[in-house]
Amino acid sequence: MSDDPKQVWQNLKTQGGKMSAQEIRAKAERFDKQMRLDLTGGIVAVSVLTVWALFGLATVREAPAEICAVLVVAVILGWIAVLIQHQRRSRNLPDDAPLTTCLQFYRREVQRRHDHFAKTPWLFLAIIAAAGLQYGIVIRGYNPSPLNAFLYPAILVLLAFAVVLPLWRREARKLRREIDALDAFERDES
Amino acid sequence: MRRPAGFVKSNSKKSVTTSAQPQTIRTVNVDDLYREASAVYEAALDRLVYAYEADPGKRADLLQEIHIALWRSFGKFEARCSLRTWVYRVAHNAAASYVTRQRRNSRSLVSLEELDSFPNVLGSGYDSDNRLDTERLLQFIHRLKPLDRQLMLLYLEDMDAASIAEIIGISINNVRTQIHRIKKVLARRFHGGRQP
Repeated sequence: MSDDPKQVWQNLKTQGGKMSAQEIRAKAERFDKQMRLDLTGGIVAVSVLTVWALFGLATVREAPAEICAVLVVAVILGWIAVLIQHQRRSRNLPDDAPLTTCLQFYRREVQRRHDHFAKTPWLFLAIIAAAGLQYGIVIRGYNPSPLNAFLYPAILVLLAFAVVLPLWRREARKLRREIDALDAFERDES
Repeated sequence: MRRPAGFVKSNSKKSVTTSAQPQTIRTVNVDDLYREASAVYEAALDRLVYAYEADPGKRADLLQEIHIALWRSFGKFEARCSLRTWVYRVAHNAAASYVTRQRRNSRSLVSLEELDSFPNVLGSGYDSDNRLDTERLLQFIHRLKPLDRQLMLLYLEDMDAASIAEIIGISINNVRTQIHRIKKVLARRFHGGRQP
């Protein structure tokens, strides 16, 4: 039995399945169709929910505060779910992947993630602010003191900012280090 | 002109020179290129999937993803590089994309140097019959970051430095440096210090 890692590797017994061109074409088309259906379905569902919620908020004088809060949360969570689902499903490689070397491709993926975390997470902060707003909507029905109505929600929102932003920045720094390591790897000829 | 019912618009036919017929230009379509690539590189792609996914239940998904990416890619193939380079680039890029999407697992990946500095908790790499253990080799590979993993795999597939350089996108001298490191690490980890 050989001790050569190359031979051992190339003799690895696998259980891969052979796929014909027709099968792959059918799978690719099914996958694309499913992605389109999921995204379209999600957008339609959340759009209907948004319109219904806006209609409900337009009659806020009659609607109980709790219902307004639930509507706001449901709309926000619905759009987040659609975006997350779309991102998870987007598994297609960029069109230029075969023309891109492995180093360029991976570096671009890491750079993209770094740029995402380097930006202030406005969407997430907007969600926190919306949560504070809905708290205000709900609490007003109980004739709260200024402390309960404004100070506590403000403190909670600021705490959320204080936790989320440093975590975001830490991830961006970690990805920056990885990009620097890739640059060093590319230059390494020692 | 209206197309007849049942007409399926196929991918555009392309005139390319493939690695199999360097002196002849023939008209091929995407399916033909895919069949050729699949026939020649099927085993290598299967092994690549083993190197990128430890869970047997998920390997089929990754393999399918790679094959789909490969099939789609041939719409852009213009023979500016060899078929082999094209196939390996697509396969490794698809697999690297898969790894980076597994955020939870990708956080624990390390470079070759970092992994070599860890204690050899994987054991000598030999099974009871003193044969190099493929499972331990796979465990080792699964700890590597995408680029180190790609280099390791291309080395294990016995590719020459020029081909590796073209696929990875670094200089040939850099490839030789990396291969030298890979050999030393493999010798330390799996041969008790002896060169294979």
